[in-house]
Amino acid sequence: MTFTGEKKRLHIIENLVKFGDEEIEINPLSLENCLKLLMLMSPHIVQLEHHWPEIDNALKSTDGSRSQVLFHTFIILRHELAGLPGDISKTIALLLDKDVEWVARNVKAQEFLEALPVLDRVNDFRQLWQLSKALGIKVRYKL
Amino acid sequence: MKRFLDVFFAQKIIVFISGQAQEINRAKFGLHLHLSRLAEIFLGARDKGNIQEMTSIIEEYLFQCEIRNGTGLDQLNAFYQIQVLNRWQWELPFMAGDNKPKIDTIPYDYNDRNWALWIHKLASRYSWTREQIFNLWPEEAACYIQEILVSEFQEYEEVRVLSEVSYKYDKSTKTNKYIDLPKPNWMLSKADDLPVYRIRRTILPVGDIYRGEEKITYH
Repeated sequence: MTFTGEKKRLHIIENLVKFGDEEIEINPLSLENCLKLLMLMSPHIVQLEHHWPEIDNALKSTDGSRSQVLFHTFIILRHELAGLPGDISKTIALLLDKDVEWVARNVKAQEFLEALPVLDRVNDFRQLWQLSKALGIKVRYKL
Repeated sequence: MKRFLDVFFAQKIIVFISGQAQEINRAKFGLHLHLSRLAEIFLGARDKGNIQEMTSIIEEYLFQCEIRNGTGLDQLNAFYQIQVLNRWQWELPFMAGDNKPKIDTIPYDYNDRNWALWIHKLASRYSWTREQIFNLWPEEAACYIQEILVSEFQEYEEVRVLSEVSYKYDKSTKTNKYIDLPKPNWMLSKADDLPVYRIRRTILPVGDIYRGEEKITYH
């Protein structure tokens, strides 16, 4: 195998996450999934603004090699999201680029927690949450 | 941007698409109109929550700026940065409007008529083609439009002075008095032409008044 091929193989191995018996590769979010994720998470991203100093402090305590924004997002919003299992399932489905039914069948909480650092490494969620505000993407409820 | 000469400094940004840096230049007038229309459609789709339309608009927007592929985040980021780059950077006086009551409906009006009017005026005045006009910078086109409006006013005034319609007979002095052609508000000199209103001191505000960061104290 060539050097580039070996590098690509290692890259894929780094981004592989196991759910049950299945290994899936975590890829950067597509444009459509980014927009769907922002629409879904918009009510909660607003609350994150109050917690940015907390996230910054938590990130400073890491070795700086991983962003862990997504990890801290779920930690901070765990109480708000606890009552919204549908939103959580949809969020996970968008992050993994799978169907909600597949997520319900295959994803366990522990496995998802282990996948969070990989997701954080592949996508810059801090930039994504900030784009939500910049582009004004938010859920509009019809009365 | 505050000066006409600043218009000619080409502005550009660097966006990162799949780890590769790509230079994007500010759009000229023609592309600026197209991109602003796409941005407007995006806002409509965003307000309706139509993800499919938002996605296709962003892809079309980036295609016009010669950006291909990239991750979702790269595309969203590039879309936002290019929008900021292509925002209108200088509001000229004539853009502020007239503040006079407008007629409710003009029978020959249509959407985006103001842009067609700009192109019509530039083409009529300078005999430029549409391609030449679209190759101007947006603020440059706005400056030329303002000059055309001022010139049209002055030319009309010169012709009007020669007509008896612009003179009113004053019976008391038995002379003809010239009636000035009313200027639009944006052409008025603020110091001279706007009316001055006197306010009674007893009804003026008292205490500290903050206008932005400026603090004014009334006693």
